[in-house]
Amino acid sequence: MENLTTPEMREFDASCPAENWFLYWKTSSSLWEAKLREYQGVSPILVPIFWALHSDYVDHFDFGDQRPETNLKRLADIAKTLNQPIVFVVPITPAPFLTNGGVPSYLARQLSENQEQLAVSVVDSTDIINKIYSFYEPKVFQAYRKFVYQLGQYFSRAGISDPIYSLSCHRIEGGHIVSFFKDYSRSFRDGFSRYLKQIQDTEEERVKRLSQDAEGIKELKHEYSLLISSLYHDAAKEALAGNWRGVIPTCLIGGSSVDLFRRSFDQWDHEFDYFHPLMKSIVHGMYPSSILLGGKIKRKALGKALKDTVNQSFVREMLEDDYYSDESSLSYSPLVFFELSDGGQGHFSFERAMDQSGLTHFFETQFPWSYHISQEFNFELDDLENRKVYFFFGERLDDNGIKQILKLFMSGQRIFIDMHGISESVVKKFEYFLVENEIKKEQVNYISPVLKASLGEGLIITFDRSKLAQTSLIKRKGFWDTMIGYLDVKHMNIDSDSDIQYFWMRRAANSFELSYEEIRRVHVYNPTSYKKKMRFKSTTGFAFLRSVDDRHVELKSTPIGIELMLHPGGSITLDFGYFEP
Amino acid sequence: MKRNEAVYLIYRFENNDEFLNLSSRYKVSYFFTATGEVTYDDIKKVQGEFSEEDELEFKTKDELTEFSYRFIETHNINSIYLLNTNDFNIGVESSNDLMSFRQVFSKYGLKIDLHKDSGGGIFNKFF
Repeated sequence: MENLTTPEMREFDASCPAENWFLYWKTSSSLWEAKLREYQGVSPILVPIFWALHSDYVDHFDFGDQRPETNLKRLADIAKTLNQPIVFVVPITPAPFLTNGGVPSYLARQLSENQEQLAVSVVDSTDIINKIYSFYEPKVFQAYRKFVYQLGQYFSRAGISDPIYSLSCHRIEGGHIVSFFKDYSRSFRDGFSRYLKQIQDTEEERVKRLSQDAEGIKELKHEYSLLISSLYHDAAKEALAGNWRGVIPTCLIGGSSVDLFRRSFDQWDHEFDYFHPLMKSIVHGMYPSSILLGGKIKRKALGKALKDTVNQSFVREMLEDDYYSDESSLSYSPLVFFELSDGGQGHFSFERAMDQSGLTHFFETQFPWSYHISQEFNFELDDLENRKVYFFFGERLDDNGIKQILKLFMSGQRIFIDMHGISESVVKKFEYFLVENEIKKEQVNYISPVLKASLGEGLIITFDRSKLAQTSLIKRKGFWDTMIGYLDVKHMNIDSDSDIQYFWMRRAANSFELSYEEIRRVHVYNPTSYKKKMRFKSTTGFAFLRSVDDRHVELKSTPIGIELMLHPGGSITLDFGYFEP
Repeated sequence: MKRNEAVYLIYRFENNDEFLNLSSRYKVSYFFTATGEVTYDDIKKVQGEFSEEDELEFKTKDELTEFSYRFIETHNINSIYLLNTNDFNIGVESSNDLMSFRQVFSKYGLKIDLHKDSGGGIFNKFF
């Protein structure tokens, strides 16, 4: 007979569903202290503030006056007593791990829709379906503004000094990073019509011109979307000014529409499918979160990958926004050979440009995840290092953009510019610069017209992605093999079975490792149900140092390199010293 | 594609846009089974002229239904659940957990089943 009195051990704690997230409303406030005391993960702990919990009907706000689980001051005090740093995060987009995306139920009227007109909904870590409601409803914004105002007042009244970040939630939909703010529902369309009417008075010509084709309409919609999202951002920033520190862009793994279907079927749902989103969010400068995934799927390789990537230095530096720029640090950060800029105004499909140029395929096959995509244009010249290669898309460049690029070039950086869609004035500026400074240049026609301009170590190579797009993927790969081969990027040669996942990191050499310029660390995972092989071929300039944290892996060191046999769910970390041969 | 597997197809209706000179279409948004998304090759076997860059779309609802019958017959599968995005959205709004979500297709969708009630294949359905 079943013993009904023996308590069942719960493997999954809904209040700490992932990494360093603490959902205070998922447990009784009387257990907060015990939960935070038990917590052993990275710090600080992120505490999302659940709008609907604090405001369950119109113009009513509760911060501990009626229900103890809304008492954020108490939570902050407990954390302080336990010496456990916390930061509060206030969503400025729908947050899919919250019921109704965080919107109080009295405001949850219009479901947000994706591009396919499907209601945006996700499965959370406890198999609950969270429906996302539109942030484009004027009533939602009015109520949001009141809420953040009340929250700001409460923080200052209660003397809570912990930092607050705004949280901007994203998902990966069809290979693209998409904000949960993005919406194609009726609320968006109505708002957009009102916006068009408004700007028609002041910018009649522009609206008329852009309304003539689908691309122009997209541009206007993008503009409207940015405007509304900035209202939420500014409302939070102003109301919480005393504690506000910035925005955390997070990518919710398992939050796409396909994930909703995938997670409905056990035969389809596999940890392998979450590796790509995890790595992709990191290279896009997003804070990955597995908060939507249940505990079971994170037991093996995926759980290890999350621990390896969202580690202490990652969290600290993401909050300080310099994860990719601290080159002298002795903690590991992602290895970046290529810095791609997605900065600029207006609507632009970065992913499509990457696909057309063949860069997506090239990076995936030759330098998986060893690149970084940034929204920035202004690079601090002091922070630059020579190893990186910069990529810019001409369509995104304006006069200031090309000025920044030329500065990079003059400081000895290596740069690729896609000339497709570049404006005439920018081209003129570029050409004028080359002539005026008597820059040495060579021109060839290799699949695309290619111009190479060099000055000392500085190098600019231009190409036209529209020409590359007309050729096969193999030809495009050949193009990039030649171009990047010319730059002599120092990297290890690897042979690996398909579906093995790996991620490179680097750190500066410490005082015991002076024979090396830097230490490169590779995390390897086998998320499949089959045995997989991988070989790190002996490469000049690289010495194998050690293996760390191996699980279900056989390692063999041979004269031709390091061979790994990874059993299902296996993982290992290898360190190599890099030296200038 | 496994035999006897159920297939799920979610489509959307895009109204014609005279301004942009686009005609009305039934566009397939999601097409999957319990083991994953339906592949390009699986579609190509049924729709010879379909190319990888194309979106799977039909001029009329009948064309979509006919495609579904041919798909069932070609791949020898059990059934296809057809569901438009509006009905899906209604279904989702009333689902609270995975258990209830799984029933959206059978509750709100149109089940197309060739083998159960027909003896002679696709032509019996039309003629």
